[in-house]
Amino acid sequence: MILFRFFKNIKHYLWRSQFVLLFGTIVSLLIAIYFYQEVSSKEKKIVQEQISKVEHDFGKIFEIFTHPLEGIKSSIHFAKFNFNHNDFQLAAESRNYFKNFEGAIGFGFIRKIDSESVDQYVEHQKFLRPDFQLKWIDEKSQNHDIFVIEMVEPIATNKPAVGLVVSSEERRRNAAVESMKSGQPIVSLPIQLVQLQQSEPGFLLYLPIYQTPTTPPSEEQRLSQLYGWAYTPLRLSAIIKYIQTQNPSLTIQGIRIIQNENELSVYQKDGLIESNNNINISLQAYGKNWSMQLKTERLNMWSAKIKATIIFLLSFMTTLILFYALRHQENVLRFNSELIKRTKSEVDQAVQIYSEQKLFLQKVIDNIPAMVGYWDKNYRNVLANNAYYNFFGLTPQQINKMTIQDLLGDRYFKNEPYVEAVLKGHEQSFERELMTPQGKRQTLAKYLPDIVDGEVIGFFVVVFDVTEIRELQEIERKQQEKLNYQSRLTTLGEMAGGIAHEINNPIAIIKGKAQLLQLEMDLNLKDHPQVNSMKNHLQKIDQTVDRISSIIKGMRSLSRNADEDVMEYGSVNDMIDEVISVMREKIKLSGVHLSLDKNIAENTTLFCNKTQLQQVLLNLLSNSLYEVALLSTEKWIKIVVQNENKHLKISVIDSGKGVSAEVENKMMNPFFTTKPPGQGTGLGLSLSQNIIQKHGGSLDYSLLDGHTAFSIKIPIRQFSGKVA
Amino acid sequence: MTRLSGIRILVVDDEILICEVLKDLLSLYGAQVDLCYDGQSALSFLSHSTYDILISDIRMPVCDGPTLISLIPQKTRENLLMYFCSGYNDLSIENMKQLGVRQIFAKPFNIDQIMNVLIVDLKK
Repeated sequence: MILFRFFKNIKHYLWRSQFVLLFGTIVSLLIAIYFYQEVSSKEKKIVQEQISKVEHDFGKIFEIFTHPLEGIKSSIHFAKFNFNHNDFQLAAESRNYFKNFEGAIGFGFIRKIDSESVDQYVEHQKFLRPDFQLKWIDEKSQNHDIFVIEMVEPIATNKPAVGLVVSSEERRRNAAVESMKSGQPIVSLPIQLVQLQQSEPGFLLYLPIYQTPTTPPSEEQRLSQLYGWAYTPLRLSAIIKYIQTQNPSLTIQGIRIIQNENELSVYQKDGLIESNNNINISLQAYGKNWSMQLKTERLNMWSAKIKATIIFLLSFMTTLILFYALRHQENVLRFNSELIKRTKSEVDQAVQIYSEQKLFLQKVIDNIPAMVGYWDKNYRNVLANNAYYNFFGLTPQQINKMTIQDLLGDRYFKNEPYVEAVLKGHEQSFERELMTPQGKRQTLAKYLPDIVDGEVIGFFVVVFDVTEIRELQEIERKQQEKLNYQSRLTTLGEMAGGIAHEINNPIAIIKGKAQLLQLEMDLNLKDHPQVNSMKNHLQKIDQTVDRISSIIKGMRSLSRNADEDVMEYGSVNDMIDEVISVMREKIKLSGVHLSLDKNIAENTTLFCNKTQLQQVLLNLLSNSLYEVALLSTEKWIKIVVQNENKHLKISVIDSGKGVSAEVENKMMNPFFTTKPPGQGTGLGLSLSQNIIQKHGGSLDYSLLDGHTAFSIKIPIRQFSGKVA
Repeated sequence: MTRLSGIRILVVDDEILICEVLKDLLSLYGAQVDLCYDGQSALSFLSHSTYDILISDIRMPVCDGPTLISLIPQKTRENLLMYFCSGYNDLSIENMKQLGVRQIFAKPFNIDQIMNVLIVDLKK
């Protein structure tokens, strides 16, 4: 579980291969060790069994030879120690020893003889067997007890042994003494048997025979009661052969006897002694400490090692394969992880840029002085700037994903044709008056299709506030109209100029002739009864000509004229006085009261075209006079001159009650007149306004305390020259 | 009606009827009026006779009013009152004053106005 979590949670899956390698190696090692131990213990067990068998067999081989010796012993006791070599021969033959105990050269009896009785003994034996004689091996000691091989069967092969004094040689004597002392069968150290011609090691196996059938319990008794020994000479080769036959899987490399810390080599196999797979066993048998070197076929630890190694290698290779497989996977994972990490960081970066750009975009569209929105082809809102959602009183969250039908509600039917058309890919544009928090606004809506690969995926809505533009356009249109009008007037004036020149001469002639006729009538027809009537006719002609003249003059003045453009500084007082003086008589005759209210300095000057300005004043006075004269009561005209905001303001106020709205709208138009036909040209106010505008001023109508008032306002320029 | 008796006036206008009307009118006031129909002949008249008043049209073929006046010798000008009579005035007051023209009578003229001016100027 922990491991699982370790793998799962921490990003250590990248270390799995290493872990598997380590773990696999350890497991492989453990398997190999376990296997090795298993195999080796099995081997050892087998070997141990073999060792036990060898030990058993080694003990047994002496035991085998001990049996016939026991037989000899029992025969001697049975005969109550009264038997000679013929009896022994018979006994031996009856037991068929040589067949049953292969390896033994023969079986015999050794007698212990006191030193005093030696000669007596030899004499007795010679009596029995004339060829009997004592055979000394190393030394001839007369003073000690001697041990003599008295009988040995089969005699044919053992003749050299009969009469052999075994006590004359150390190894034979020691073994005999040892056997006598211990009461046990004892084997001698290896010796050269006298029976054998070739040099071949052999042993003597002694079994002590006491005077009592049982072995005396104490050593002292055993020494005193010893009668002799049953013995057998044994070939080493026979022993080895026996063991070898019983243990075919073992090879005896060597046999040693350890005595008094000395090692005595008994047997050494010929040829090279292999040091490998040797086992040493030590055992005690028949009074000797034996040491054997054995070579075993089974104890081949190398095979176990090799097998363990192979198993280890197999296991390790599996681990390696797993390791490489995992490592490959890890590399893929690592690569993927890197890729994911990189991709993630790129994505993060992109997301950041995207959100920044989105914010920026929102900021940009929020700052566009128009309502901006985007709708997808499913009529759902994708984008809207603050002007857009504010107009609908919504938040950006509310408007997002909202359908246009829901947004517009009952109003949708009005926009539906445009929406449907734009979704078919046709740009839509329409103007509408909308109620906004800022009041009634004229708006221009544009629906722009968003076409990708020929398919409409949505559309942009842009609603501009065109109120100002439309207002400006209206002003511009009016100005243009005015300009056009001015231009037409100018053209008219220029035409009039041309006409005037051509027409003035004829009408001058008419007028001249009419005047001439009048003068001539005064001179020559004073008393003619019809003279007044005729003169009246002529005056009408004269006046009519003047009318023609004034029309032409008025028309002419509509054009720019070099002469009329002359501007100079003139005294305002003089100008007004001149105009009043011209009009005074006429006013007086009309019964109208004229007053002048001058609120300016006496020497006030104005940069103007004096004639034209006077013409305007005359015109205004004439108009007032015409209107006031029609009134029955309260007939007055008031001229007010004053300074106002660096302007000179001349107002002509009369007792009239103002003009109708209809008249007010039209009165500045040329040829508009309220006078009966023939009484006004309709050019007066139009011309006057034209002149005043040329002076940079204005001519306005107003109702002042309920009375008609026309005011001229002309900017006052600083005087910088002489008064004309 | 004898306010202009003894006064010699030269009227110059390419329109014969204008000349005749002016002559008739001024003659009624006792003036001695000669007529010319172009500037060239007016100069010739001025060099041969002495006039008190010159009334000339402005626009005329061959030699217009201002050219005529500029060609009049200084000596002759000194004792001559010069006026323009025009239906279409394209001269500025400045130009007029430089030329020594005292007044422009607008066509259609009024004989009373002309008389008033002439009488006043002759008295000076």
